[in-house]
Amino acid sequence: MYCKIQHLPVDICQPGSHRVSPRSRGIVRKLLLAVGVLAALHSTLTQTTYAQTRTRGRYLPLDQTVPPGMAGKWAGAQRGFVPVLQAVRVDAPQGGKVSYYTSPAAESVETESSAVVALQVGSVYRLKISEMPEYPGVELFPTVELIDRLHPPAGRETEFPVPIALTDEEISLAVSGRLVTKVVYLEQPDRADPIRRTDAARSEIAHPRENLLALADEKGRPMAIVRIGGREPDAGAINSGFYGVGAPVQLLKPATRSPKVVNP
Amino acid sequence: MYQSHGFRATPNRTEMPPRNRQGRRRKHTLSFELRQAVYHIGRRVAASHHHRFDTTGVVMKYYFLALATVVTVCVGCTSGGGNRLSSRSGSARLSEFDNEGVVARGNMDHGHRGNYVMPPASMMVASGPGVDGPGPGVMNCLGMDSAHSMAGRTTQIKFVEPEGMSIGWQIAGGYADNQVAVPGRFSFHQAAAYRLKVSNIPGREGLTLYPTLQVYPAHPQTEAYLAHSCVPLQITDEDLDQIQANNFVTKVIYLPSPQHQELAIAGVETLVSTRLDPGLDPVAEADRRGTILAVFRCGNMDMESPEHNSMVTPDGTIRQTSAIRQVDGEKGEIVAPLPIGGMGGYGNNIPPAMMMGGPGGFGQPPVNPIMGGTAQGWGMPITGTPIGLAGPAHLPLGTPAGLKSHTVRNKTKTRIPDPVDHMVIDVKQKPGINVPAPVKHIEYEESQPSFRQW
Repeated sequence: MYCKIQHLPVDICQPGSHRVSPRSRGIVRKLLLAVGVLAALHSTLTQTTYAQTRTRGRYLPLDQTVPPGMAGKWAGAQRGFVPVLQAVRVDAPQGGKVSYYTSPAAESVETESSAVVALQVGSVYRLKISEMPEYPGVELFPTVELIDRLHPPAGRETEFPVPIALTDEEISLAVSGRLVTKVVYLEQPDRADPIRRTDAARSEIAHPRENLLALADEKGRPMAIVRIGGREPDAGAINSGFYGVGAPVQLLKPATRSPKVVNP
Repeated sequence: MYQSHGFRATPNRTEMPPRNRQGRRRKHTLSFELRQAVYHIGRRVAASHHHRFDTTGVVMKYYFLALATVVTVCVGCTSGGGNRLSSRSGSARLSEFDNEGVVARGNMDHGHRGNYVMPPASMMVASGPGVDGPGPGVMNCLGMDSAHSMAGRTTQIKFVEPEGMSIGWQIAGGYADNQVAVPGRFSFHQAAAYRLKVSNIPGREGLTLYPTLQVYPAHPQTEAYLAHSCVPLQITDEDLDQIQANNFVTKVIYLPSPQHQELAIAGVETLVSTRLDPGLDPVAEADRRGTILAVFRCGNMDMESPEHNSMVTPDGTIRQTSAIRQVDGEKGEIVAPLPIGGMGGYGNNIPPAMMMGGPGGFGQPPVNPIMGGTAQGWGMPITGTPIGLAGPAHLPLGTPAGLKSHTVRNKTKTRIPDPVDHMVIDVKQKPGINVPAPVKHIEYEESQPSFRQW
């Protein structure tokens, strides 16, 4: 008896065993081919399904839980980045004082609420919000991290500040010990509501499992990260770096005219 | 014939792989092994039945069964299953509620199945112990300086209740009483354990407790929270009852992970050992649910009993009573607490906490806790390696350098694709452009008013 071992199953070469008919071999080959095709299709479909994430396949290493300053630093590492000063306006609910700390030694620039200041893009600023009429004796020390800038018409920068509006709910949550993280973004023009609004208090609460920066990136262009908590400085705050590393703050004159909408 | 003879001469031919055309034994393949196993199974089944029937059908049946099992296992391993949270590989879906939510961290797929994985943000900030890059795959210290400086390296503990209670702590040589009146707050340096002194508890006169507070170091996930919010610590009546009943109470305050977070606004949660099932470690349970901020351990041990204030030191000498410091916050005497973790004198039953440097200036590394400055510490790796990992420690042993060589082998699985040489961009607009065909035929018909001629 002679058989080609390299082409036949081993069992048919055993003494006393029986050959497998060519028809059975054909069935085996067809079965193996079908299983292989199914396996390939399954793996391909599986990968396609996994790729359909919320961020459309993009991996965003930054989220709202990263340490303060990290997103700004990464934004500053981009090619062509210029640490320009961006006009920012912080609005307390019913007014109050807003102080911007400019050095680790707690030197600050104090302004009224809704005053327009220029902050450096890519930096983190520690603020103090005080003398709020609705919250007597309450002082909040939020941080504002600028990660991008606007491009207003030249000479009209003060007319287009980045508005940071604090609401009563956010202040109440911060006083109760919770951390409120907001991402302010410039909405995408074709997704904006076709209603002209003069306030910037429109906000929505995201699910805690969602990446705020990714959501803001989908809806537009993230501009700033605002974190509000209830921690207050103590005697050792200066040594512990509570007030940040220091960055320039420029107090701007209020705009003499409001932004005009030019009809096409 | 030679092949056939050679094969037959083998006593147990089923253990020999077949030969190829060159007469060499082929390597054992999965198919070969599978057929061997199925053959044995078929023969045993046939022998057990003591029947002479066609074993080919039995063999083929088991062969198909085994083949189907192998295919199922292989194909099934490529799928994350319905609950991808339970799968180590691939993206992990958080819950059925969030069908599209994918945990960005923790992907351990190595890019084999289309899930391209970058290191977690925390790893990109600090790539390893004592090493913060730069190097291939390691971001150049981005965000490290400002993050460290903004976090402050202190954790502000807010003692919530019971109101009127006094918080003191252990200092060098004694205890400082009445340092914080509840409700009040104090910023403790991180990565240290402190011995507190709780007194003036309302409704429990004469009860003084000496709990320990272990403040954990900031983690990239908790750094933002600790920089903006205080950590609430609450001692309830139930806790006090348990302590007075000679029970040991452990409270773990942690920041829950997003998948364990119920509310949209981040807030800490507290696990109490007395409310957990027996055998559950609250620290391990809190670590599973999130990132630990502080651990509060309390029993009814009196740390100022006479044996603790013994005047006889271990070396046999008599200590003067004046060596025990008495500090009272009500008299305006405020003294910072002394960490007890790692100390040998007081509180040596507390395991030492993790050592951690203090804050540095802008762009400066943290202060080394051993050196006391920003210089490299004793034993700190200084040798750079191509992949950003630490080299051998530089130990000033007082002898000339003896290191001849060191080898770092990069075992990281990498898949770096080739650069794109031909780029094709398909552009498609929805809805597509659909304009009417240009006018190519105009019929002009003019009607003139006609007036009836009467």
